[in-house]
Parts: sequence; C-alpha cells; structure tokens
Amino acid sequence: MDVFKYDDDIVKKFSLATIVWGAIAFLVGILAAIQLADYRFNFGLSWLTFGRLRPLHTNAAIFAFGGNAIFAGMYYSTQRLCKTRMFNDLLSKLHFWGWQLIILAAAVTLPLGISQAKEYAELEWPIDIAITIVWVIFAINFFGTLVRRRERHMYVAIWFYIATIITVAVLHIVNSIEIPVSFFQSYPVYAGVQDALVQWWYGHNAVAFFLTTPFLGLMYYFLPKAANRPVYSYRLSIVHFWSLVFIYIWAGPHHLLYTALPDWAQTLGMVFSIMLWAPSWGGMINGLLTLRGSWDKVRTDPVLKFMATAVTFYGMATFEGPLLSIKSVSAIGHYTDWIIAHVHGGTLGWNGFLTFGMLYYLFPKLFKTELYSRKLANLHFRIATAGIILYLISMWTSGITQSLMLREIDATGRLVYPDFAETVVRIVPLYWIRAVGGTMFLAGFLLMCWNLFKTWQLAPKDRTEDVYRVPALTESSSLRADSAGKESWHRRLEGLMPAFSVLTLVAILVGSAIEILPTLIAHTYVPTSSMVAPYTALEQAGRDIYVREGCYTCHSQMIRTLAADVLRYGKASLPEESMYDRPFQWGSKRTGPDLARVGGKYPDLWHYRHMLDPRSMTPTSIMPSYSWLVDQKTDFDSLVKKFEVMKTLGVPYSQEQVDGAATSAREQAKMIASGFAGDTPAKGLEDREIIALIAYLQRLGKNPELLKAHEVGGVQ
Amino acid sequence: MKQLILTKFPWPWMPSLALLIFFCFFTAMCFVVFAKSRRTFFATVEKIPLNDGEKL
Repeated sequence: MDVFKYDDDIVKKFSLATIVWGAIAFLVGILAAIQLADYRFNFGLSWLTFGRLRPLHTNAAIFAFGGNAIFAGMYYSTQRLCKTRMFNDLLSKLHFWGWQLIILAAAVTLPLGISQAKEYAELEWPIDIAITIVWVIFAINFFGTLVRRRERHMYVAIWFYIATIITVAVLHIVNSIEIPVSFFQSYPVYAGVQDALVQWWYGHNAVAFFLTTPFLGLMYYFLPKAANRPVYSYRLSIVHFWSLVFIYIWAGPHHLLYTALPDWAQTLGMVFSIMLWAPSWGGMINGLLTLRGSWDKVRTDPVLKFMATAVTFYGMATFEGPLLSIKSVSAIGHYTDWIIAHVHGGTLGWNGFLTFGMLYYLFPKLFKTELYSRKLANLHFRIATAGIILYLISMWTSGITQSLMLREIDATGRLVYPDFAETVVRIVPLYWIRAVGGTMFLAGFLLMCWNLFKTWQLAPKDRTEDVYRVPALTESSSLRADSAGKESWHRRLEGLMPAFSVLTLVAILVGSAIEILPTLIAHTYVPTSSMVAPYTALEQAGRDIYVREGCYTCHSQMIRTLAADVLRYGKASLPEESMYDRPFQWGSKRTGPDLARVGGKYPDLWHYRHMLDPRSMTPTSIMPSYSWLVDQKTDFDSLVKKFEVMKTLGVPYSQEQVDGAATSAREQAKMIASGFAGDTPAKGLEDREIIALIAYLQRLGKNPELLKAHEVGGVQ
Repeated sequence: MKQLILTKFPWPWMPSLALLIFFCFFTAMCFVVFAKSRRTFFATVEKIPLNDGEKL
C-alpha cells in the first residue's frame, strides 16, 4: 500500500484566480456591452474604447476565467483519478504564476492597442512565447503525473485533458508563426485567405479544445462525483471522445461561409459541423442521464443544479452551432448578434455554470467545511439564469432583426434599408437589455464570491492535509487483465499514456491536414495577381493603426456573394484582394458597415470629420470618437523595418521602396493633408495618425484592373 | 471564381481520404467499445471517480 497526500494548495490558487479574473472579465464585458448601447461610455479614453476592450473581454473570459477554472478542476481531478500527487509541486507553482503573469501582460497590452488583431490570438509574440513555455511546463507536470499514477486505467476525463493539452499546443504554435518588427509588433507569415483559414482553424478549435474538451473532462469527473453515481454510459463516453476529437478540428471554415475561401473548404466545414451534432449530443445525454434517479437532488443541491443546467446549455449551444453552420442559416446569422448570442449561450451557460458548480463543490471540500449558504447559491442560480435568458433573447432578436432588415430587397431589386445606421437604431434598445442581462449574471457571480469567502472563513483553523492510502500499482493489478487472465490490446492501449496521446494527436492532425495543407499550398493554385499593388508605406502605417484600434471588432472587410451584400457594398470580395493583408481583416461581426470597398466612397475630409465626431457625418451612428488620432503622431521611422519584414515575407517591394519607406510615407501624408485646404486646422496634420488611417481606408477595394478582369459580382 | 479554384485544387482526393479514415476508425472503435467482453471492465472503471482512496 502507498501513502500520500494530494496537492490541494494549487487547486485553491487556481480557484481563487478563477474568481478574481472572472469578476474582471464579466465587468469588462458589461462595460463593452454598455458602450455598444451608448458610445459615450468610453469616456473619450483610447484605452477604454470598444475596439480595445473587446479583445480584453474575450481573452479574460476564455483564458483567465476559463483557463484558471479548467486548471483548478484538472489539478483536483487528475490527482484523484490517478491516485497520486501531482508530478512536481514546483512545476505546478511555475504553471500557476506563469499563467497569471501572461494574463496580466494581456490585461496591460490589449488596452494599449498592442494586438495582432486575430480573434482569441491577439497577444503579441513575446506573450505567445511565454504561453508556449508555460504550456510545456503544464504538460510535463500533467504527463509526469500520469506516468506516476496508481490507477491502471486512465478514466475518460483524462482523455479529454490529454486532447486539450496536445491540441492547444498544436493550434497555438501553428497560428502564432510570426515575424517580429519590434518588441510590441509582428506580422504573421500567413496572408489573406491563408491567414483567414489558419486563424479560424485556430479560433474555432480554441472554442473546441479550450472551452469544450477540458470542460467535458470536468463534467465526466465532477458530475458523477457530485451525484455520487457513475457516469450513465462509459461506452458512450468513449464514442463521444473519439468522435468529438476527430470531427471538431474540421469545422473551422464554417466561420467563413460565402467568403473568398475556396468552396470545397466551406462545404467541408459545414458538413463536419453538422456531423458534430451527434457526438456533442451524445455527451450531453450522457451527462444528463448520469443524474437518473438523482433528479430530486437537483432541486435542492446548488452544485447539481448548476451542473445540470450547464450540460443543458452545452446541448443548446451545440445544437445552435451546427445549425448556424448551414450555409443558408449562416447567410442570416453571420456578422450579426445571433453569433454573439450563440457564443454567450456556450460561455455563460456551459462554461460559466459548470465552473460555478465546480467551485461550489470544491470550496467545502478544500476547506473541510459546509457551504456557507445554500440559499445564496440558489439565489445566484436564479439571477444568473434569468440574466443569461435576457442576454440570449435580446441578442437573438437583435441579430435576426438586423439581418432581415439588411437583406430586405423591394420589388424593383433595391435595398429597402440602404442606410446601415437605420438598422442599428432598431437594435440599440436590445443592447440595453443585453447589458441588464450581463449585469444580472455578474450580480449572481458576486453573490457566489461572498458565499465562497464566508465558506473559507468557516474553515477549521486546525485543518491539516488529508493522508490517503491506496494499493500500489503492480503488474497484477486487477484492471490489467480480463476475466480470462488475458490482456487485450485495447485495454493495454487505454493504460498506455504515450500511445494514447499519439493516437489523439493523429486524430486531430488528420482533420487539420485536410484544412491546412490545401491552404498552405494555396499559392500554387489560387490565382495571385500583379494587378493588386502592395500597400504604400503610409497605407501600411494606417493599416497598423486600424489593427491597433481593433476596427475589425465592428467592421468586416469581406463582401460575401449574397445579393444583399453585393447590393449594399459592391462586388463580392476576391481572394487576391487580401493577398498582402497581414493580418487579414475580414472580421466576424458587423456592428458597423463592411469596409472592403470603402476606398473612394467618401472624400478624405468626410473620414477626417467622421473619425473626430461620427455623429457629424452619420447622426445615428453609435461609433465612438477617435479624436486621439488627430493628436498622436504617425511612427514614420519604423516603416523601413516594417517594409523589410514584409519583403522577407514575399511582398514584392524593391529595395528602393524599402529604404525610402519613411520618406514616401511623409510625402503621401503631406499630399492628403494639403487636400483639406482651409476646411481643417491643417497645420502639422500631415504627421498625425489620422492621415495614415485615411490613406489606408481610401485604398480599400481600389483594385480597378483586377475587378474589371474578373467581372465579379456573382450573386447567390 | 470558385469554380476556378476548385478545378485548380490539386488534391481533390484528400477530403475523401480523410472521411474514409474517420469512418474506418469510427467503425473499429464501435466494435471494440461495444464488445460484450468489455462489460465488466467498464463497470469497474466507471467507478474510478467515486473513490479517492482510503483516507487515514
């Protein structure tokens, strides 16, 4: 028999971090929601503007709140499922503090506009490297624990953890291949279509392998534990695992339907998204049926209440996801608040509620006491549920309302609502309702914080770490052989961590290869064009400002082949048009209109006035003022280095263009500023950021020769 | 434009191959998982989370 102690100190640390970062993530989310309802809530501060807050909110919610929650649950459950202490306490601590430092770095850099503008992968290259190092530390600690385990069989929850660790590493490394320009800026090696496909392969699977598989592992551990009964069907859990891991990775292109992405990739993404229905619902049914015979407990036990509702939300979100990936549904839902509703149904309902259930379960166990107040926990449940429902209903309504208005075409073939702002006015009241729903969710969360704090206070002062005794793992362990004394190959496989991990890696790589290889060789078959000129130095400077301000969070640069898109914005986007875009800026949400062909649509002065006071040009606009662009100076000096990097990446700049980047940018800026004549206080304006941004905006979609050659505008 | 890309994509067999791999894998997995001989095994391992070890 072996005697040992579990390391619960690390679980407490991650649990506490979950609570602290959760409060920040939700608070930032509410502020961002209010800013969409009333633009004045950025208080005129650049670092508090929606474009910069939105990445902070998503990163804090996913990697800070969600990340710390999964680590807390994984450290707790892995030790108990393996009947051993974590491999190395120092590695556990390094993992914890390293992760908190990364989050802190994100919390500082994102509001400062230091961003790669790739959704859920906004963090710049030094932080990317730090993430890789901390992830490797975590992986060594985790796999080391599996090696030292005293339980022959690796329970299915551990399979989900293995898939998470391996896949997140692959996703993060592939999507973060970039070339630094400075300590705070880099350009991705991928451009345009390639960048879009790689990014959404990453973005979709960040949801799959950071917000789904680890939480499913937690579900398979904590739900049976809380209900004190085994999982409904262990067989189903195995089928669930392999199907999910294999299929999920293929579905990324459903984020890019009707775009300039090759049709085969779009269809493949859609088909596999629909196939995902089966394993996802298999998992949900397995979770809910685990509670068979315990439904009376669900009425009174807040832990089970939160977990059962979380699994229900998982089922709902995984029904809605494949539904939205069907091309005709995507045509309505994409770029609208319907997607926001879908995402928050998953994160607030599934991830949030499962985390709350887990924390309500963990705190009394970790502090050897009873939960301070069940009534408060039940109140939390009611307020948070009502908050989510308000959130989802308002965003569903908003998304569908706006989409139908944007798509409405009269009998003469003209748009019924040609002014985008006209559709925004209709949905602003729904933004207020969303903010109320989010506030209710936060209020419930704060009740939990108080409840858990009081639970902590109730902990006996003289508590000591529990000591456990389990049989040592020997060759004759009962699970090693079947009733006939034979050891089957699959049973051996289930106990072999390296072989199992390799198999998981193969499963995700097969799907990844199908999505990524054709993209990586795209230059061999997707036409590029000499009719598309690379950006001028000033346009590139303006593009970097566009990226810094997070304009992609509200504006897309992708005109789909849909009739309403073409009628509203012009000819459908071509793959060649974004061939020099690093990073691509296709966007995923249109709070404002698409900008793919905004170049030349308005005069320079219109953009100048619009940036200073959007209401002066569009009275009903909800866009905040970007007045600081008039005060801040363009960084001309860095342009030579930027052009050098672009040249290295294959952009056909001549050496003269590289060397003269700063000079040519100044000349172009002077020309634009002089065009304002007496309409603005033009003195010194030529070296201000607003001029660079105007140069970039005026360039968008200006490839007349290419458009003429293609004769595009194919309407579906 | 899309047709142009589709006709030029050099490995049209690749998605089909991946689908085939998945279905072969899925079928084999179902045979293994639903084999009768594994019933007692699953009945044992599904209880793993319920036991943290003997507390001293």
